[in-house]
Amino acid sequence: MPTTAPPRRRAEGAFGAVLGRIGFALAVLLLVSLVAAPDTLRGSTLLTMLPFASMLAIAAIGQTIVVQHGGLDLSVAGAVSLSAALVTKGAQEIGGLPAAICLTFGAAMVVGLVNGMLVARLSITPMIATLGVNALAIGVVLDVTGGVPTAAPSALTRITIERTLGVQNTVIAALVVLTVVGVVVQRTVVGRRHVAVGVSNAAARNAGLRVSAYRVAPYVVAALCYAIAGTLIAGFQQSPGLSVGEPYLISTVAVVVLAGTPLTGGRASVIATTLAALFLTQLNQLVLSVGAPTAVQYLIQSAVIAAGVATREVAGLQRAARHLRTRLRRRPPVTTPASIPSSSLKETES
Amino acid sequence: MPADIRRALRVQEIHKSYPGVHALRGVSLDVRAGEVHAVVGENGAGKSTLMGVISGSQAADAGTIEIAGTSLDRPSPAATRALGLVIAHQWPALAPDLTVVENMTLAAPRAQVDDRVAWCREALAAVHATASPHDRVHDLSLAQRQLVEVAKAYVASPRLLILDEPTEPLSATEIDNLFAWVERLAADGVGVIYISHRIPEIRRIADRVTVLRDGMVAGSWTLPEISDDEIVHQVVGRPVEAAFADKPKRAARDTPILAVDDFSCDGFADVSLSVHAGEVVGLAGVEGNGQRELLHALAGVAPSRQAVVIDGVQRKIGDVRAARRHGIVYLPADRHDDGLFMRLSVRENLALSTLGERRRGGFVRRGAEREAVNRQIERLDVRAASSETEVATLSGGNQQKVLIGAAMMAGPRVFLLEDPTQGVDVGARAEIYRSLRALAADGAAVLIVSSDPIELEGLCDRVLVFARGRVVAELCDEQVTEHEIAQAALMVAAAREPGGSGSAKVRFLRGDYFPSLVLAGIIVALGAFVASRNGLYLSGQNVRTTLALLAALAFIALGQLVVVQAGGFDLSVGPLSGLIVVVGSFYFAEPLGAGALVLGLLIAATVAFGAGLLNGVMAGPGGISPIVTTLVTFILFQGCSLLLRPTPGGTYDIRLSDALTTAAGPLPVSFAVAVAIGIALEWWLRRTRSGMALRAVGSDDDVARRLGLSPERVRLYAYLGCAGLTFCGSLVLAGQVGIGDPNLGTEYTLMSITAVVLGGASIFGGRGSFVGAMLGALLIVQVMNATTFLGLDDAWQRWLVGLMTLSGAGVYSRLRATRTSP
Repeated sequence: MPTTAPPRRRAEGAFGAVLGRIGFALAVLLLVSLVAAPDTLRGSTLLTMLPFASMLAIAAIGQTIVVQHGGLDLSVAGAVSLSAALVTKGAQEIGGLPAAICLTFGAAMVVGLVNGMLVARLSITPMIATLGVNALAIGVVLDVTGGVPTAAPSALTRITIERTLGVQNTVIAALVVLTVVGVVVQRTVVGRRHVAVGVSNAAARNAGLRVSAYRVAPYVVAALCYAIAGTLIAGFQQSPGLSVGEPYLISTVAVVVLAGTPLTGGRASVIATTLAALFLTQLNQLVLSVGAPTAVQYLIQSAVIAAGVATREVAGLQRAARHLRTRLRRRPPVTTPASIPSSSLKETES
Repeated sequence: MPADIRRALRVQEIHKSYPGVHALRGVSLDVRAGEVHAVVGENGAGKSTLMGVISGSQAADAGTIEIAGTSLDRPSPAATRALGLVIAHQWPALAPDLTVVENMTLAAPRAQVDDRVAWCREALAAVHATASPHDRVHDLSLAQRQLVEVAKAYVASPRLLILDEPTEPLSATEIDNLFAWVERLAADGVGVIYISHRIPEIRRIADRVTVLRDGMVAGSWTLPEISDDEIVHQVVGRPVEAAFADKPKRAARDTPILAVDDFSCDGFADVSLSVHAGEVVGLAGVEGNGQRELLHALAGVAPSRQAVVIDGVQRKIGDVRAARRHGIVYLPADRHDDGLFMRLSVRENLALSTLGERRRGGFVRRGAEREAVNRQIERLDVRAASSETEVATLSGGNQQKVLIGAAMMAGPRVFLLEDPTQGVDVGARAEIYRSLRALAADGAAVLIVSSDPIELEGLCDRVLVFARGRVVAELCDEQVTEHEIAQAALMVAAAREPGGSGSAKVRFLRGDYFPSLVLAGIIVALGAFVASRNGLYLSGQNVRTTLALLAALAFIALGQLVVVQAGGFDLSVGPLSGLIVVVGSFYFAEPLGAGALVLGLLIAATVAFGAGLLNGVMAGPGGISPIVTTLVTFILFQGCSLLLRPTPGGTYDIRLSDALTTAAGPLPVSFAVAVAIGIALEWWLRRTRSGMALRAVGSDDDVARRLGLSPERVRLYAYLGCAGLTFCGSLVLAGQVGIGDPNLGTEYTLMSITAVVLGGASIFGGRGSFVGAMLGALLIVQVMNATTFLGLDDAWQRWLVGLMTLSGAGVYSRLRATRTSP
């Protein structure tokens, strides 16, 4: 029977499931917060949490784009630090925030292009390429700043702290990045091809796509995301430390894993990434507010990521279960010599 | 029973089913000791399954197997090997990153030899292989690999030998040599099963022949009692399953859409072919004879230098995009990996390659897309719950329809297909045949490679039969029958041209020690330069502190390399080293008694072991990606450190610190121990079976499994070893720091990875050298030290390390990427 168009669903298959899982986790976390530490959900506390969540979300969206292609961007730490350093030092030296921001974004594009070229043209493993570029970027940070942090221009600080129509500007920035990236990936020709190349390089090449270009672009987009995050962090912290980007290495990867994006590449949802960033930040907030030391924050983070992976990597569990079953079945056959020992023949050495 | 002893193999009433396929239906086979027994059959007749069952790698559903008179109750590769069964696979089970002698050592677990190289050389000479024992398998030609596979069989001294199409890549002389050896084996009383598609070869070498057809034995004959024609007759004759569309009468010839003249590329030579509008042309032949390579060259998958004539105009096809521009659309054989985007929806798969035609200002016109997709779904009768269904959840037939539909949306002038109906059910097949015919009727040319002669008979107007890279027959109209196709393919006696062999220089450049040599050069040059600028650089004090710093990093880098060689990754080494220092700070405080020292060491070692076990179980048997696994433990160990010591505290007893930092002149003991362990590990890696197993697992999981190794277990051990070495490194660190600092050590993660990469290890596993990793660590520490002596700022440290990492990775990946082509 030919397919008659069934009711169209908005959430698409596995994509919807992933969104649902992190959404559910976030809901549970908010409920727990409500019971254990209702203070964390009060307006003023939420207002201190949201900027951090927003900046993490922006950086993690960049990381997501790279991970979609089976890569891993270790240069996030260097790129965020570099952006923070350039925007503060640039404003001081050149004078004027717009020029500093242009400089920052230009530098980020260079970082992204170098990453992408190393991966796509020189076929260096993404991790190693971005590891090397990270070192280079940190070198530039040290060189530009001379080892001393610079105060952010007051205009930038004002922008990052103020609100527009009652919404924090950092949150607005995160929403804008989320919307732009989400729409481009979902609705445009370029975005659709980006997703396809991430799902299968070989199939994309056989379908006649310009695969090498699509392998460079994600690193550039990611670097631009890091630049936005770095600029916001600089304004928010007012005098950003030189290694202000360092925590973002582990936390963006953690967010990507929590969002259910497979590290082998493929489909990803930037909405899930944003929810996961919110989840991780609120989790930290909750742990801190109940008086637990920072250490517990780490323990809970690792447990949560492990749990997230465990529910997703069902394949591993199934394999283990199958292994166990064959073990159990390997009982000595109780067959007479005349009969066919079919039960014993079924077993294989694994 | 005395009668059984002279039987090398007795197989009775074997049944084997896979989901949807009854592959073997009551197969019985007898092989006498001292005979060469040929097994013939079409693709899919059940030969591979039967050999899998005999070797114990696949379990039969029913039936008995006896090898050399011993019946197998529980067949397993290990059990059959113990009885003297040896298989030379058609696709050699050789780990690509290992050398020939290492592969042979892994393949012969019970061989006790003093001089492995001489032993290997003798085996290679016995089968007339020209490969050197030190050649890396990766660099060998297909023919050489095949001969190494046969040499593996030689050293195993088989009592029953299975040769699976061993002559495919070989030249005439190589075939002669191989046959001479097989005859000697048979004369010594070994039973030989010879699987082949070449009747002339079978007639030369075999005593008896058994024909498999459709999972059953069609019969067994001694060779004198059966004619070539009769063998062909027995091989063919599978019932026709699917309905084929009518072939229209061909009209008068106009200019061909696609034509090539004396076309040559890797895998085939001198092919001339022209395809006209409305024609369906088949490319047949036994697997691996150049028909697929021709299709790949036409599709731009494997770029060719020669031009192709399309609609009368000469065109170069450099890549798939160029082919598409000229209306050539290609459908790959492996739809799961090369064709479909399994995790995307039916709609996304269908629309992808033609998105450009339906856009407005960069955005996809969703209405137009949906309409086009639905039209295609209807036309091909794709059965899916909705166009948003993930393709991975569809049946094989519907997946194939989606793939064909996506290609057809591109409006092909020339449609190239590989095995368009493999794994497709009968109903879907008929649909596919119908739509291909319809496409041809609309004026396209269709070119099909298929391993199924019945399909070619039913579908094609013309069939070219390939053998060893050349067209050996062209069948037209009434000649296009299964029998004619099979006969043309089976009666080939020709052999391939002999190929060359790699040089010693290339071998060295791609070897594991080339990076070490480069590093040593850089280290010496940098050292000399800095010393010339600043005399204090080579002072005993500076050398001692540098080497002491190096010792800690060297240990951790060695640990990292153990895991990396096995194809893993360990992000948690840094925090783990910090955690061990923190744990120690609770026991090693002043005054330190013997009891506390032992207890502290025991507990710290237990922590390291537990960490290794946790990583190893998750990333090994657990099957979780190493990055995720060690990311989780990275955070976990850091948390534990902070929990135990929220702020730095717990000063180590000064006597212990002193003991850990003892030095003989400028040479710290810790450094000497690290070097000694590194060299010992290097010896272990190159010389012992377990060291080779580690690299084999990292090199290729599947091959390692076929060699009888368990990748999961090897990876678990690798993580344990890594934790052990990290433990050593953290003791050195503890001596230097002397206090439980929770933030200690994290930087060692990235530094150890950098050291390993500089040392020339492949991050995908299988390649690397412990000496190289130590030199990499030395270079990092040296650069950090040198910059201060040269008066350079911190930025230079980072730049130098970054540039070294990138140039190292870039150069090594370039050197290894170019493979000597078969």
